[in-house]
Amino acid sequence: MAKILIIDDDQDIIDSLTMILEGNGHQVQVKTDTDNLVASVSEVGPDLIILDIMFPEDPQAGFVAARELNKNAKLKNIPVLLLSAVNQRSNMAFGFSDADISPDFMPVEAFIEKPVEPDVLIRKIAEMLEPTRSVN
Amino acid sequence: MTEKARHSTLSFDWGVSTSYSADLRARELADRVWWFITMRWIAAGVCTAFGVADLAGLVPGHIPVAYFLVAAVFLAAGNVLYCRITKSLLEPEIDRAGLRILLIFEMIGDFVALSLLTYATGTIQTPLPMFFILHVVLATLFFSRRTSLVITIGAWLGGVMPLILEWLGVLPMISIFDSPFKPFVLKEPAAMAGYVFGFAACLFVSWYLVSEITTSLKLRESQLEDAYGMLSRLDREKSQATLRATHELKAPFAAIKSYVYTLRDGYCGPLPEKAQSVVTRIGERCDRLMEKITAIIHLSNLKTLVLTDMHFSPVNLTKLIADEAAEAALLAEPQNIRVVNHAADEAEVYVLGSAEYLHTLFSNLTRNAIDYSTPGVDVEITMRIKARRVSVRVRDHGIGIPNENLGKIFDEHFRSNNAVAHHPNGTGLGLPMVKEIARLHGAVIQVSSELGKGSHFTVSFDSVEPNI
Repeated sequence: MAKILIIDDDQDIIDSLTMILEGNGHQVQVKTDTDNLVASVSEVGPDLIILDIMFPEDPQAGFVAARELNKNAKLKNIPVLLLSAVNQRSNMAFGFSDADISPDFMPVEAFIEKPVEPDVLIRKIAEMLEPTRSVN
Repeated sequence: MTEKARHSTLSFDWGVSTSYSADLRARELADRVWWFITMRWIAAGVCTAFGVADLAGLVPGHIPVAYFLVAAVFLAAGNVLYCRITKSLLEPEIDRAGLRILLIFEMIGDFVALSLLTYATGTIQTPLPMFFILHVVLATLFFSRRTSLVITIGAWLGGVMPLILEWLGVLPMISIFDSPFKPFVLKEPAAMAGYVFGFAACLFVSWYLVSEITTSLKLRESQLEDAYGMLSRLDREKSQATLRATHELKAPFAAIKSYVYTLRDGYCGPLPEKAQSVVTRIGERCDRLMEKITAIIHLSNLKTLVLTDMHFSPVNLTKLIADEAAEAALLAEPQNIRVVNHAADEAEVYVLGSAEYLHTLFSNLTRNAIDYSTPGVDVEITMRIKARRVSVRVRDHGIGIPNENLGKIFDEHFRSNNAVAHHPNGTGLGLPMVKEIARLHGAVIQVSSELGKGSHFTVSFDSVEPNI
């Protein structure tokens, strides 16, 4: 099973996701902000990161963090699952989805809207941790 | 949507108005330079025609034709050069400073040609010096007050120099009419001074009046630019605030729902049957509330949009309807309702609009048609094209709308009793959204309904060419 790092400022989301992930045999580490990101992620050494987009200090901190990780040669291969409460099809000029994933803008493996069904989350994580996908 | 556009939307980097207006001004300057060149071709043509007409003896008086032909060649040769330089100044991007310097040189060249022609046509015997005023007016539009004043002085010298040189005896006097008036002017200092200073007054008053008006217009343009910049900033701030509000309102429900999932799926241990049922209902209520919050924010966002906020382009309505019908069919299938898209048989029709918002409009109409239908019936989508008008009709054979409520269905949160009884979980915001999107697209909505038999909603647009 995998070591998963959750980076989210919402303690309730962290706790509920932790229950689901630990219930499926994963080991969970938590970070509640995106400060000192590279050092923290390097220290934890996760197999996968679940990353929120909006943080209190910066509504785009998740994107910034994903780009920072992507720039780091040692960390860029860690798969990142972006998680946000903002609707994928919000139709409000700022909706985004998997189709927005790109190296410059959203350098992550996948995007999921909060709240996420436990089965969907577990399936998605399994997909992301598949060895062939990691090699790619 | 292009990747760049998508990214810039999300990062709220929608461009700065000043660069847009600067670009617009540069293009305007380039247009004026071309206009100036065109006018010069006409002047060269007129000079040639005049010279030829004079040679043919068609022009009365004693006009030395050679001057006109020289002026024509000078203007034409200058124009060929200006054309080449202008083209080089427009690529790869418009060089505004270069174009301005070129304009100054063009004006100097014009002054030389005009002086020559003024001399050839008897200086005070011709209206040609009036063309100097045209240059003064243009100079006030393109240059600063100081530069345009210098150009005005140049125009004045160009206009009076032939007469002064004739007066000094440097040039022989040319008189195109047999009249004693010109020799009198050259002999009488007061008459000379009257012409020289009268022409100066004419030019400098023109310069003063036009530069005053131009300064005032430039000030207003600058104020409009500031106002546009402020509106753009406010628009960005509004979108950021809406994004933040959406997040702040939805995030707590996302957290609650996440806990509901853990309880429902047994991550906190097994639940008694009744508790399981309550948890499920909490989850469902949470979903409805989140849907409603999204709809409220979406609707308020739509209501504050104006036409200028929209990035309209030709949208293939036939394809959009087909996509929407396919999505609706998936939703309808579990309820044993068939979505029949007759519009698929129609030719491709384009309307000017936002594909995203039009999807929302038709998705709300088809969703409503499904939600208020009874199992086993059809929802039909048809399209009618008449002249340049295209009408899309979404028809259901469902519960219908009571006649007395037809006028209220586009009101926010309004739901008729039979609608609530048939489909309790509606938000009452779908049709208000449809109304706002139709407003933004200049579309007309018509509704017909019969209680117990069904309703049909028709949305009509003006069609456009696909590549406008």
